[in-house]
Amino acid sequence: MRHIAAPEGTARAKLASDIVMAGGWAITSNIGPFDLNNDKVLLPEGVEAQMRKIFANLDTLLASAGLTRDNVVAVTVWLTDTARLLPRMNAEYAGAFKPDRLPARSVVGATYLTRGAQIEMQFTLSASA
Amino acid sequence: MSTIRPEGLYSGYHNRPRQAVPNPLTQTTPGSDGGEYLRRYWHPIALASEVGDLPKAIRILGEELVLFRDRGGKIGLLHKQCIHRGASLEFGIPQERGIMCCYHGWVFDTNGQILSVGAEPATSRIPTHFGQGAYPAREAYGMIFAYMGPPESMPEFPIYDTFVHPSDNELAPIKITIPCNWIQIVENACDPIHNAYLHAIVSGEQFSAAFKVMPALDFVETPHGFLSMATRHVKDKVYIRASDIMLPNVAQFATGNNDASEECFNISCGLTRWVVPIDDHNSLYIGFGHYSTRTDRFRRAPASELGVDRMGFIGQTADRPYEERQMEPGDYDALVSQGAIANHQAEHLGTTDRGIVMFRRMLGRAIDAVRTGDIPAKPRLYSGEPVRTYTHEVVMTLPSQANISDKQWLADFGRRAAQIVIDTDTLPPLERETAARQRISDLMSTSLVA
Repeated sequence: MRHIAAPEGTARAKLASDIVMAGGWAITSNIGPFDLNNDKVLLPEGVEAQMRKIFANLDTLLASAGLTRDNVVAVTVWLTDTARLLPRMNAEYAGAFKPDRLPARSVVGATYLTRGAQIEMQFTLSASA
Repeated sequence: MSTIRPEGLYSGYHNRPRQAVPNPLTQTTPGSDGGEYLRRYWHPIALASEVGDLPKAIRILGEELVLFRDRGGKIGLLHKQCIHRGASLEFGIPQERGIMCCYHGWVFDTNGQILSVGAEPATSRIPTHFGQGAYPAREAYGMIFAYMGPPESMPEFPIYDTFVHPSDNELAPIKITIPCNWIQIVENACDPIHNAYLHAIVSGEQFSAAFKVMPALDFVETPHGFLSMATRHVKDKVYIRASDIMLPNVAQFATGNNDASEECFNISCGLTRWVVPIDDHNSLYIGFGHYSTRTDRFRRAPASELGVDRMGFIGQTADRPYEERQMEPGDYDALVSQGAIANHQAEHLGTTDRGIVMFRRMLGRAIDAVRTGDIPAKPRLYSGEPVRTYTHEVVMTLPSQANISDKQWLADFGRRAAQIVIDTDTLPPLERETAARQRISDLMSTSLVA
């Protein structure tokens, strides 16, 4: 089992690993639209910009685990204000993965996400692709 | 106004804000003085992309309406509740011509005429005696515009010179809902000093770094309102940013991303916006970003980032966490926190609020004109020509020997440059720019010598 820890000094470092790899699987914690290394950086405005930040964070974290988006098998999207934001989220989501290798996906409505973000995403990956 | 009393500081107990009084300037609903005035103009009410196969319930100027596109492609804007028994036409079914109420099948044309009364006998006199309330609506530039006033007072549909600028110009529609009275949003544009504080000094660099330089202000009347001007001395340049305030609710702005490092001369804008009241307490910020090779080098957000609830500029919506809004507030936070209708009685205006005062006076006069049966003080006369507008953005290098520590020189220069932009408005756009640029350049050399 391998733990990819969050950088020291970030609030999440005391609570969870960013990725845990075990038994051929890699599981991420919920990834938010925050700066991975600095909690003081403001979150972007709007669900589209927040998603772009989450995917950038995902790519950074996966690189540290030697993985890519091609390894993603399942995505859970946590979204506040689902009725308003779902179509916008879907529009931004399209194109995030190769069309012939779309991961399974679930969308869950949330009342509050860390730091008041509009969206967080959690990813399950096959480490063997 | 609350003053410092003899008992001195800690005046919280005595120094209460004055009570608000009814204010015609903030009224929007049918029959109110302010609302009647606003009903003398065409207003955008939705983006065309929002009107699909299904009708859309909307509220504009305090009226409940339904907006739809019939299958023949015509836009309809009707009173929301069916005149038969009140079911909402948002549940209606668009027809080849008009819309059918879901409840008993009455059909209304886009002009409100009754085309069918469902199961009523063919001899029914209802269609000839009644109609559904309707307003003229039309699609243009990716938006739906409506006129909600008396038909006999309907002005020509305005086309602004910035919409049809001969250089390349792509229009990217935007629409944001802001929960406050419409004039708070208009007044934000009449207040160039907030750009220095809210957008630069307080919140980092929402606009370019040049905005941290405190400007000289001026407010110069135009044929349809005034220019809200900030003139800055940035390093070896003079940087004029003049926003065009057109009564009642249109404004045009240059981009906020010019860092004044290079010379530029544009009589054109990066943004046209209307503030259209939904009701007294809510407003649409609706318009478009202009994209062209002339202004794009100053712009950061691509056209694809503009749309419904999407402005491509920080702090325009509630779509940010509360604490982050506290750490880096934007326009939305400053406007909405004044209250649903700002209490003018409790304000303490200063010299930098001259633009606010000017707008309120012009608006008050125009409302009075309509109330007493006149046409508004600043009538829009179009007669087939695009409406001339005056937004400009000028960066000019100062002569090397110039010493302009004097704010008054800056203000004077900005005002005289604006007057040149106004005086040249009879010329076609590109000639106008060439002529105005030359005259302003001459003005700079002569005014510094003198």
